[in-house]
Amino acid sequence: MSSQIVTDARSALIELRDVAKIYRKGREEVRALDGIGLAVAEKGMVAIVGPSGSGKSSLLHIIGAMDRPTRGEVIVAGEPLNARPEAGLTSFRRKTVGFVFQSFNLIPNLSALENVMLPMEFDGVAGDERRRRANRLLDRVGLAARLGHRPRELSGGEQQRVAIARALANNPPLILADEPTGNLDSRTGQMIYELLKEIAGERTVLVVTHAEGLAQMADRILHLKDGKLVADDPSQGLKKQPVDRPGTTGSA
Amino acid sequence: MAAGKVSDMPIAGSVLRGMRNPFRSLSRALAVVLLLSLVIGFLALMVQATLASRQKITAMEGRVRTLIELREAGAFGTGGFGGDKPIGEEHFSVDTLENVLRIPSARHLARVDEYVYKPDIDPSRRNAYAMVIGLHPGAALRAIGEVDYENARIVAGRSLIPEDAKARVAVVGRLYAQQRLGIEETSGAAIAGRQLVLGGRPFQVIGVYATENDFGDNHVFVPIGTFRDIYHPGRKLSKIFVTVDSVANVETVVADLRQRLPEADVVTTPEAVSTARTTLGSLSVASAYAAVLLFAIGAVLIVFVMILSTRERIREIGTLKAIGASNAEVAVQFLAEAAALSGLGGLGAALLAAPLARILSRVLELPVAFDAQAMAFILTGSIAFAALGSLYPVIRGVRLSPIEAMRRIG
Repeated sequence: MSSQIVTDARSALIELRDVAKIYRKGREEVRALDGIGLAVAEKGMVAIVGPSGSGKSSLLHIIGAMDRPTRGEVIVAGEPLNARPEAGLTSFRRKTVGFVFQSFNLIPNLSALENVMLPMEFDGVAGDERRRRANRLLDRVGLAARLGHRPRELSGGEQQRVAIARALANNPPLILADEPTGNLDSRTGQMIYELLKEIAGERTVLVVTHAEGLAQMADRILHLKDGKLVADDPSQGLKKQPVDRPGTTGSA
Repeated sequence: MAAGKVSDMPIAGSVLRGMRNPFRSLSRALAVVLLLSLVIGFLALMVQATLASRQKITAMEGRVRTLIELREAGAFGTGGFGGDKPIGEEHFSVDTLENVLRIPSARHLARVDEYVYKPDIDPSRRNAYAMVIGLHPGAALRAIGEVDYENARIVAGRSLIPEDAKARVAVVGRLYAQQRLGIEETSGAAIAGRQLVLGGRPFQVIGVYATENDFGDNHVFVPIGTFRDIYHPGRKLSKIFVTVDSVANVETVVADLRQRLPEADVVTTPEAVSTARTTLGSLSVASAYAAVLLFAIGAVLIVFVMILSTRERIREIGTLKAIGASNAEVAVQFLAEAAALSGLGGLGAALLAAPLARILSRVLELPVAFDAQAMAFILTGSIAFAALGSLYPVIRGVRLSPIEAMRRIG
């Protein structure tokens, strides 16, 4: 077992200890994640990069309680997720994380406003308050004039901005974005990254990406390969820190 | 959560969203609703037809099995015209009627009706051998040769009523109206002011009846009092029909009648209903089979639609769960969608089946009821049906983890 723990979990929003995710494909065992140890501080943008099949998305899904690890401990916002029942994970996803997907995943027959109101509805926010907050969020992402539009009436960039507004709906401390620019042209992708970067000023944003250039905008870059964390790289000229050195500070 | 508005509640929101979902694709929603309307509509019709035919068989059996015909001994086969032993007042008369009322089991007689016939022969006409029948207004128009003995139904105008007791009014058969009176179209307007002559006296035609049988449609029914004034038959009677209060007492009454009335043939009539019973029975069985078949088709169709709808939107289930929807909220949304779809199907079915029920009632002469109760039954039935049909695919969908659901393709 490789135990690659980057510690300084004292102020960490996310803490992973020896996390593994193993799938079975017939008789074959696929180690999507293999002994991941990680601490991510509150606020800031962290990019997760690596080749296809390196476990980037699996890591994101486990941090977001979309999937359970085969082994290891996952603690987010002080809450250990492993022991939580399904209802507890639902409540966690509702309050603590906001997801941004590559293909936007908006509900097609709901307007932009209704899509943003949806997570608040699940959280029991009153109708008037939902509408007020959704209006404000869509205004923030520059879509104040597109409130009543359905997803098919919006461009890719606009849809992704609605998805970001939706992710912010319940004011979660953590935003998880899985290839958020994968379906966008580079200029629109840049705009989306700038928006995420701005959001990272007030909360933690974890972004899975293939785009090295965009990853460079993050405060920290995690390199994954074959399910292992192979490098933890503070970007913007900060010194690269190999993850296999115990005691290294890994907070962004 | 703020208390107050129902729409603020997550489950209410899921229900509303589910009810909007069928309209994502209008053409597809229309196609599904149309299919459901057809299946549910015909299913409802078949169920109603089965019930109606069974009710009619039961009613008819009850009626016929308690009906006893009395006619002059040996007069069978003469069709009321007389035969080797002509009908004579000395044999079968008002005295016979009085004797009927005095039998030991008379308390079991629910109704006794007397009829007197007079042949109306005109060799120049195609329907040369017609019959004038006198009866008490209110008694059934029992045409000779009918199957269930109460089959004559008024197709224009009206029947005889107590106020007609002494009036010169007549209800004529369809064939008689056509061939003796030249009335081709049987309608209230066609018979208005029409008269016929019986025994040299004018009679007002007040109604036309039909029995589906030319022989039965060749009569003229008049009030028995008027009949006696015109034809002076004395105490003569042609037939007496006795209705017993219950099937259980028929045997006793028949035994009494046979013992006390040597001048009469006492005929019970269950055999007379056999043809009608067979026809209605076949209809009942056929409609029951059709109902079962349509029920199966409806079940398969709804389950298939829901499986397809859930499968193709499995990613959406993943998204909903990822953004915080509970399993219950997702399940309620999809069940509400199924209910909305099938509710529309039920409504379409009601719109389709209501006019068809009227047509069926007319063609089959069955009271295929299609009232508010039937509509409520269709609507609730189809919604419950859809909810049950969609339960399995929905439960399968919501039990996936968000990421499993989002990875699934169709």
